[in-house]
Amino acid sequence: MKKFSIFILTALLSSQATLAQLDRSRYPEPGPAPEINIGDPATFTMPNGLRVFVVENHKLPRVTYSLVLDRDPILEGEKAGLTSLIGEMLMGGTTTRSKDELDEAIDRIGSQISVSSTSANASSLKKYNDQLLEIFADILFNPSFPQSELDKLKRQLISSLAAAKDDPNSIANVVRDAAMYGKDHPYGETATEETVARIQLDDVKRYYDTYFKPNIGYLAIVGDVTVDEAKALADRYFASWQKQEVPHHDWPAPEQPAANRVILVNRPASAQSVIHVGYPFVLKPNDPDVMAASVVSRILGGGSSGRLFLNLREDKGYTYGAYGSIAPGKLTGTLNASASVRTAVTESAVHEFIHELQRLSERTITTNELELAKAAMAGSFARSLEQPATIARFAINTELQDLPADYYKNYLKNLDALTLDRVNETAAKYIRGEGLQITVVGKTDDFADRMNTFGSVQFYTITGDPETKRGATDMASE
Amino acid sequence: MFINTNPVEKHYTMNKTLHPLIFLGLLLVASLTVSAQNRIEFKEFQLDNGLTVVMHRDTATPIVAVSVMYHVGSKNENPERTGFAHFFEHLLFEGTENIGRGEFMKKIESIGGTLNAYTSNDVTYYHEVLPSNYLETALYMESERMLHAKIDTVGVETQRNVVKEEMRQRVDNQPYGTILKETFKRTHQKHPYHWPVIGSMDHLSAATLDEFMAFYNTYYVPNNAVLSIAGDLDYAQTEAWVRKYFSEIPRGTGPINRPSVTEPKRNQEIRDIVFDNIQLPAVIFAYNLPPKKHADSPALDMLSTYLTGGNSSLLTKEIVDRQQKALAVAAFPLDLEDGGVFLLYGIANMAVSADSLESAIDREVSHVIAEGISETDFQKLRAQVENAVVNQHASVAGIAESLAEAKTFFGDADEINKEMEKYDRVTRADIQRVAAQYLRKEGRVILHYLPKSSQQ
Repeated sequence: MKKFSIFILTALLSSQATLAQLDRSRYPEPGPAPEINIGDPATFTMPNGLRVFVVENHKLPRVTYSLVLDRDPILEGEKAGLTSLIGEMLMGGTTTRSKDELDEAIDRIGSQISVSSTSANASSLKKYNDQLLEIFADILFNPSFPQSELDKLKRQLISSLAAAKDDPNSIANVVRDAAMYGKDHPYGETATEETVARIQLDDVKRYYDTYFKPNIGYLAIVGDVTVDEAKALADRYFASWQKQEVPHHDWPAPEQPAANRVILVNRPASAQSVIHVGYPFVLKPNDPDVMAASVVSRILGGGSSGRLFLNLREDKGYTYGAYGSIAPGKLTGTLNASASVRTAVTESAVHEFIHELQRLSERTITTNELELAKAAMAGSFARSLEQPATIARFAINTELQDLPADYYKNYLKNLDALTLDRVNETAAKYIRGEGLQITVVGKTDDFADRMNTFGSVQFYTITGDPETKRGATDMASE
Repeated sequence: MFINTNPVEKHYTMNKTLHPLIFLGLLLVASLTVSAQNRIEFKEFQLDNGLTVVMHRDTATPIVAVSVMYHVGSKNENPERTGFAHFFEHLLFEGTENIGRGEFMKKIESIGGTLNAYTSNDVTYYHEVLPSNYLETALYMESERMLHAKIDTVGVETQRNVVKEEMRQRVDNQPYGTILKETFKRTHQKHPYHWPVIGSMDHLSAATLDEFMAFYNTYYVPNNAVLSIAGDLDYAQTEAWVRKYFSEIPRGTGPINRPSVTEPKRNQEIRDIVFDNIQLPAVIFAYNLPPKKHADSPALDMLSTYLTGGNSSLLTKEIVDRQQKALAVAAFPLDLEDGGVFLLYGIANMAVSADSLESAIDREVSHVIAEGISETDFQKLRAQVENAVVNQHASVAGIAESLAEAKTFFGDADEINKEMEKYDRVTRADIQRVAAQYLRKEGRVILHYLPKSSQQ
């Protein structure tokens, strides 16, 4: 009987809950904001100069090692493509293991190892930690650089370059950078069949001997490992790595075009035009403007609430997505905005890109936009902390980019403190609607004759060289 | 996908550009879709209107993932109206009776969250990750979307254009972008997996507002959905909020079309040439798979790892490294609810013909069928699986998705805790058996992708 009445009572309560008029016209009130805690990694420097960052996280039984080498950009020149082969060459065998043996050893413990010219990563389950590190160190410190591997990789790279000739996005990136920085600049050069063919084993060895040095290295150890364990492991596997002075390279900051330049690449098969609009400028990662610039960047073209997305996709339906960003850099900062649009609206889309850049430069950011961008960035920051590697990344970035020591600790506070005036001032300083490089890869026959309304038109080849036959003068006379 | 997940373009690097298999609806693919070793605890309940709710608590980070998996994909569509499920993936961001046009995205971002969605042949999945103090907000918004999404001419017209551009960007303008479409057209001649998830632009153009409304009222209903929530939450409070916002949504009454057709077994190989805007030929091998729930699925998954998972895998070692016939090879089971496709492809190295690449791969596959795999290789495979198992579920978003999938496809969210067992049950002999049974030459589909320039 008692049970029965309780049942009735519960039924009554729950039906009342549903009957109570729910006000759907407004959003529920949020709970109190959770506290965001940013831990500190344990940090130490080895006698050979290697900086090590350890983040203990025992949630999953796995460990990850990430090594970054901080060197200046280098010009590969007539051997362009060299650096893209370094990682695979290191994975191509050691003095005691053939490539087959190496591959087998990595897979046998279900681990992952990857290497590039400026980074190396290894991860596995905790129980294979020692085996993983032994293999990782073998790859990094005892490479055998077999000629057969180089021959194979060169052939693959040449094949990849051929494949990229039909990928409009690859073409757009290559041509944009070549036109913006020039081919005699590390950011503008392009690998070709000819440059790859010139790469010799000695080039690989020389690169390795010059740049694979602990004194420019940052090693993050993240996961199911204690700080003491990590110290012992670093000591065992990385202490004998010999330090050596690494050369510096200075590069001129790219020139900012005074007037618009339109760079066209004809790809007759294109169903869409790939458009990039942008320009280089000076903005170093540790510049005090960076935080405000990233808010401006977000408002311009970050995610689905950026002005570019709202205009070109949600309002006009020209594209599946239009995005843009301001990226600070030690050598050069860049603004890049891009979208793939159907051929017929190429000209209109370019017009909208310029319009949005111009508008953003005119102190038009509203309080709503600012609040939205701040919230989105704060949220993204908080979500990134779910991955333990983030804390190591923060610490390494702080050193690599010479950021203030408490940059990440104060990130949310400083973000929140940005005023409307400050972001509009920053937008006015870095955003402009002229002096743009407009790069378009598409079926140019359909729109080329109208592109000179935006600026001088120059056709480029898919490998980033100005076309001699169809130059700016030809266009003007057409 | 509703929006690009990584809009920031990457600079060209070797091998990075060569991933032709980034098609629509492929997000369900991971070569080893297995669960974590650590048990994922969860709570589950059902509302009277049929909505199933699964919750997982993890307070490590103050964020929460909220997602709804609707059990509707391209296979539920009317053959004269293909692309509806994917189109709704776009439409359902347009707004609701109470959430204005364009506000859905904006609101999620303004509370520090992120959102996206995807559509496959079987399901449509909407998901958000946000600071945990906004859990109630996200639940309210998902309930709005389920109760009364606003479907009007403006939204339909805009999204029609957006979807057309999505198709141009991801299929037409993408080298090898038609592989899935061309494959399923031939592997599934009777079953509705026949048509691509993105559907036909003609169908979308011809569809009326009433037709869209009817589709919404039939499929986007509580009894056809799983609400999955994972992260920094309180079970009782979350349940109370779910009841508050979702209880009043009426159960759907429209007839849900679940195709019952079984794709007839073919005993003839189908072989075709597709000319594309590419430089390097590609060869695609496609084999029909049993339904997702079939006991052979884990073995087939392991077989795909044996073939192309890791640098020491059979085809990577033999075809890419030693013979250098391919620039890349990949194998993976697209294991769909009613039986998908085991896809194996190779992109030819310079100056290697499709024929030569095909026979080289064929030789290796035939060898597996005839001889099986060595004990050493089998042990290696198990280590690879174990590693994948642990790496799964490293995020609350991943956990929410796995729970939703398990509930939708297996009727049991706890399936995610049983996956390791399923892999453990696979024997070395099973690998050879499933290779022999499913990777038969008879009945398979072979496509040669050739450069248009070679077309006479």
